[in-house]
Amino acid sequence: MSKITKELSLSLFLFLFIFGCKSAPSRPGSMSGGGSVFSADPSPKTDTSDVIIEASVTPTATALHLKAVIDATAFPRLSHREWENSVRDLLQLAAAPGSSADFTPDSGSTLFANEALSLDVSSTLVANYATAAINIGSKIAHDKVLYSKLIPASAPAADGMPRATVIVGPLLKRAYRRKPTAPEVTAAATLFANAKTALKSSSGDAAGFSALIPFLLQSPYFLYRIELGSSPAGNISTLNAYELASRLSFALWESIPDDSLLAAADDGSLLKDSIKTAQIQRMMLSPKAKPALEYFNSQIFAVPTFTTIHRSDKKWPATLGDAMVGESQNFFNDVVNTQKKGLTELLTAPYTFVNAINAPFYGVTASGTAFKKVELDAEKRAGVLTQLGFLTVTSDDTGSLLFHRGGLFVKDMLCGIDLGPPPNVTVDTKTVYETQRKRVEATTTSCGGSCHAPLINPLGTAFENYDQFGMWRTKEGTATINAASSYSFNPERTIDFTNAVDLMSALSKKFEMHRCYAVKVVQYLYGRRENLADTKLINELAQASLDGAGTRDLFVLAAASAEMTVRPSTK
Amino acid sequence: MKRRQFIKTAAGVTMCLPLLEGLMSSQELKAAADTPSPYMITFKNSCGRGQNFWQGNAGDLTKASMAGTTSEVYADYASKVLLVNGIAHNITTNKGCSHALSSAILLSGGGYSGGAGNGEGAGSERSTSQSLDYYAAQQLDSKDPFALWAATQENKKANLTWKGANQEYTPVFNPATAYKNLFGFDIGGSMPAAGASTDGTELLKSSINDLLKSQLSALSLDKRLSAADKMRLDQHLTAIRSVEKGIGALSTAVLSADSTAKIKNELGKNQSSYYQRQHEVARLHMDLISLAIASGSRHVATLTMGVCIDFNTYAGNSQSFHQVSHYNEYSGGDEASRQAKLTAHDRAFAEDFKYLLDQLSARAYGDKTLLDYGVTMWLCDMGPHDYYGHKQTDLQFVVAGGGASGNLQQGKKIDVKGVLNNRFLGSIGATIGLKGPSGSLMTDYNASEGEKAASDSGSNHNGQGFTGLIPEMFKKTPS
Repeated sequence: MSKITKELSLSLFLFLFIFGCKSAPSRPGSMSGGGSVFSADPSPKTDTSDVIIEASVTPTATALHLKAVIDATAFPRLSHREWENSVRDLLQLAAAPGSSADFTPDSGSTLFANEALSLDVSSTLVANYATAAINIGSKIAHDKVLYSKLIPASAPAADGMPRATVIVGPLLKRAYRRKPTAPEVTAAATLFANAKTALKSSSGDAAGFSALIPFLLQSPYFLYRIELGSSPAGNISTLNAYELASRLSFALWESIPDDSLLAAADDGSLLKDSIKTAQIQRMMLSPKAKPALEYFNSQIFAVPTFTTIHRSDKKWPATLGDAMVGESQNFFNDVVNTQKKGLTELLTAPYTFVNAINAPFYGVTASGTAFKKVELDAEKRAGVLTQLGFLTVTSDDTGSLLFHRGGLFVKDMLCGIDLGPPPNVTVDTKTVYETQRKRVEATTTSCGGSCHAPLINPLGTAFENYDQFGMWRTKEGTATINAASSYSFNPERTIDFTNAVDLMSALSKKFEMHRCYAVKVVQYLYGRRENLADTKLINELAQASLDGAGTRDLFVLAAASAEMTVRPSTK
Repeated sequence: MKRRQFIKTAAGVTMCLPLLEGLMSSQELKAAADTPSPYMITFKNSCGRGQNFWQGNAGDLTKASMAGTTSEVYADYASKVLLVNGIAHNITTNKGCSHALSSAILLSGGGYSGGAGNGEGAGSERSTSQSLDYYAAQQLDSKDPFALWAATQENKKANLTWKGANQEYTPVFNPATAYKNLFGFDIGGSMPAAGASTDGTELLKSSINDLLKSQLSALSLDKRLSAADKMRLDQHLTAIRSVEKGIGALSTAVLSADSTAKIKNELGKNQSSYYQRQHEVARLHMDLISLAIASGSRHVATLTMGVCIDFNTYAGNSQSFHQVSHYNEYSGGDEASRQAKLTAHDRAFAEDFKYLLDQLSARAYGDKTLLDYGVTMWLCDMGPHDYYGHKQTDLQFVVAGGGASGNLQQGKKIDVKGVLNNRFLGSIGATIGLKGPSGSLMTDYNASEGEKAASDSGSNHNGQGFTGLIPEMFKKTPS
C-alpha cells in the first residue's frame, strides 16, 4: 500500500481557509426548472444599497447580493493595453510602442483588467505618461516617414497656423474620439505652430509633432473614455453617438474608433439599431477583434499567471510557463476566432497546441518553438481545464491540489461564492492516507457536510488523473486513482462522472456553466461588475451559449444590447 | 522665454485657457537639505513570526539582552530601535482570509470590504480606508508613496498601501522601474540639467501641463459629474501638479556604482524572475529608498516582502513562507524543525532590515545620520502563534529612528498588550509631525473607522480605546 507520508498539504489548508464550511452554502447558479435564475425582489431598489436576491430552488439557499445599480464612472481610464493600442492606431504606428511596460501596474481588479473602477491616475502614472508621451513624440519627430503619415495632403505648404490647423484637426478628432471644438483646435494648432521657434528647430513639422504628440497623449480626453451622456433619467445616462462609438471600439478592439465608426457618430446614425448592429458586425470581422477575444478568455482561465509558476523539480523547464501561455493563446484563437466556437468547445476540445517545451507533458512530440495543433487522446483530455495551465497553477511542488482545483472551479467556472474558513479548524496531521482523495474526504467530514462534500471535493476529485505537472496518471503511488464522483446543482439535478473528461462533457451541457461565462462577457465588455439590470441579457447570452453560439456571437449580442448604450448612474 | 510662449498666438495674445491655475513655478532643483525633513519608511513581511523573535522582558535593549534572539541581527542599532510588543488589530474576527484582512488594515486601521464574509472570495479583502503611508505621502510630498515590492507573484496582491476605500495602490516590483519613476529617466541615463533648459524642452513640458490642467479644470465643472468623478479628476489634476514639483527634486544624493549596476541589470525583468531572489531585490529597493529620502524627492516609502498570504518561496527553502509559518501546512518534520525554519526566515528578514538601517546610517548629517531624522518600521501583519498562525493580536513591531524631533523612544522594548493599532499608527504619524484631519498633531489614525469596523465585526477589545498616543513610545509625550 502506498503511503502518503506528508503532513496535511497546502491544498487542505488553503481550501479550508478559503472554502471553509458554513451551515448554508450558496450553490452557484442554481436554477429552477426554467426562466429566470433568481427569484428577484419584486420591487428592485433604485438606490445603491444592496438588493438581496434569493437564489431559488436549493434547500439551503443563501442570499446572494447584487447591487441594484452600480455607479459606473463617467471617466473610465484606458487600461495599459488599451493605451498601447490607442497610441499605435492614433499615430499609425506599425506596432504598439511598448512604453506601458514601465508604467505603474494597473491596480488589481477582481474582475478583468479593464474594470473601470479599478483604474485611476496616480502621480506615478502621470509621470509615466509624461515620460512615454515625450519619448514617443521625440521618436516620431525625428522620423519624417512616421510623421508624414499624419499630415493631410491638403495641408498648406508653408509653416504656420494654417498648416498647423489642418494637421491637428484630424489628430484631435481621433485622439478625443469626437469633433474637437474650435478653441481646442486653435490651442493645439498654436502649440504646433509655435514649436519651431520655441524649440529652435529648423523643421516646423518635426518641432510641431514633438510638441503636439506629448500633449495629445497626456490629455484627459485621450486617457479617459469620457461617458458623460445625457442628463440622467432614472438610473441611467444615455451615451451620445461619439461616446457609444468609443465604448464599442474599446470593448471590441481595445482601441480608438476608426474613421468609419467616427463617421457614423458624426451624423448620429450610430444611435440607430440597424447602423449600430452593422458597425458591430463589421468590427467583429476585423482582425482587430481577435486579440480582445483571446485576452478575454486568457483572463478567465488565468493565463497571465502561468509564467509565475515555479517548480523545483528538474522536470520543469524554466520556459514552460511561456510555453503554456503560448499554448493557451493559440488554443483560444483557434477555437474562438478560427472555428468561431465558444464555451462548449473550450471545455471539451480534445486537442491543443504544442511546441518542443510542452509537448512531452502531453506524451506527444514536437520540435522548435513554434506551436502546432495536435489531437490528444479524447479519453484523457477535454478542453482548457485539462490543459497544463489550469492543472499546474492549481498544484505545487508537493503535488496536485484537489481543493485548489475544486475551489477555483466553483469560483471561476460556476461563479460560485467562496465561503469563509472556519475558525481554528482542528486537523488530523498524523494519519497516513493512501491517496489525496481519501485524505481529503476523511478530513472534511467534520465540517464538510454542507460544502466540501457536495461542491468542492467532487470537482477537484475529477482532476486527480493529472499530477502536479499536468501529466496523465492512473496511479498515486501504488494506489489506483478513482476520479469518479457526483456533482449536484440541487437534489433533483445531479450529474455523475467518471473523470474530468466526463465531467466536462456533462457540465458543458449545463446552463449554469454558460451563465457564468455570460456574466464574464458582460463584465468584460462593460468594464464593470454586473448588476440587476443585466440579468435578462445575461440569461439570453447564457442560453445562446448553451445552444451553441460562439464567443464572438456573444460579444455581438452583448455589444448590440441596450445596456451598451447607457451608463448606470444614481446621480 | 516664458512658459506661455508656446501658447501665445501670432498676435501675442495668450490663448484663453479657462480656469488656468496660477502659474506653477518652473522646475527647480531642490538643494540637499541641511537637515533632512521627517520621513516614514515601512518594511513589511507577512504571515507571522517565529518564537524567540526578541527578548521576553520589556526594558532596555543591549547587545547582551538581544543576544540569542532574532533581534541580535540588528543589535548594533540597539540604542536606535524601539521594540513594540502587543499591538492588536482593530478587527480580530473575520469571515474571510485573516492574512489578506490583516495586511489590508495594517496601515489603515479601519474597515474592510470583500472577502468571503462579504460575498466575495477569501483573499479579496480590501481596506475601506486610506493607509497611513498614503496619507503621509500626500501631506509630506503631495504625491503617492514610494511603494515597492519584493515578491515573485504577479497575480497576487501586496495589499498594504491603500489610496482610499477599496483602492489598492500597487507597488512597483522592478527596481529599475522604481528608479525611473523616481527620477523620470532610465538608470544610467542623464539627469536633466538644472534650471531652464536651453533647447526649450522644459518650457514645452510646462506649457503642455498648463493646457492639460485647463482641460481637467474645465471637465471638473461639468454638472453631470458625480462627486466620485469630480474626485477622480481632481486627483489627476493634483497628480500633475505634484509631478511638476517633484521632477525638480534632484539633489547631489548618489547611488553607489555597485547598486547602479545591479539595478540596471534588472531592466526589463518580470516579476517571476524574482523567484527566490526576494532578499536581493529588496535590498536594491532599500538602496533606492535611501536615495529617495536623502534626495528629498520622497518622504514616505513602503517596501512589502511577499504577498498577503505569502506563498513566496525564499532562497534555500523548498516550502513557501506560508507553509513554514503554519504548523498544519508544514511538511518538513516536527514542530522544532518548523520553528527553526521560521526563525531562519525571520533572521533573513532581519538582515534585510539591518541593511536598510545601514543605508540610512551611511548618510551623515553632522554628528547624526539620516536614520535619526525619521522613523523606519519593520512590521508584520500577524502575531506569532504556535499552531495556526492566524493571530491578529500580539503584533511585533520594530521601530527605528528618532522621528522628527528625536522624541521617539529608543533603546527599549515596551509591552503594550492589547493597545490598538489605531493608536500605534497615530503615534508614528505624530513622530514625523503629521497633522490629523482637524489640523492638529495626529494622535491616532482612523480611530472612528477602526472602532466601527471592530464593532461591526464583533471584535472585543476589552475596553481598549482607539484614540490617543501611546505614551510609552515617546521620551516625552507630545501635547
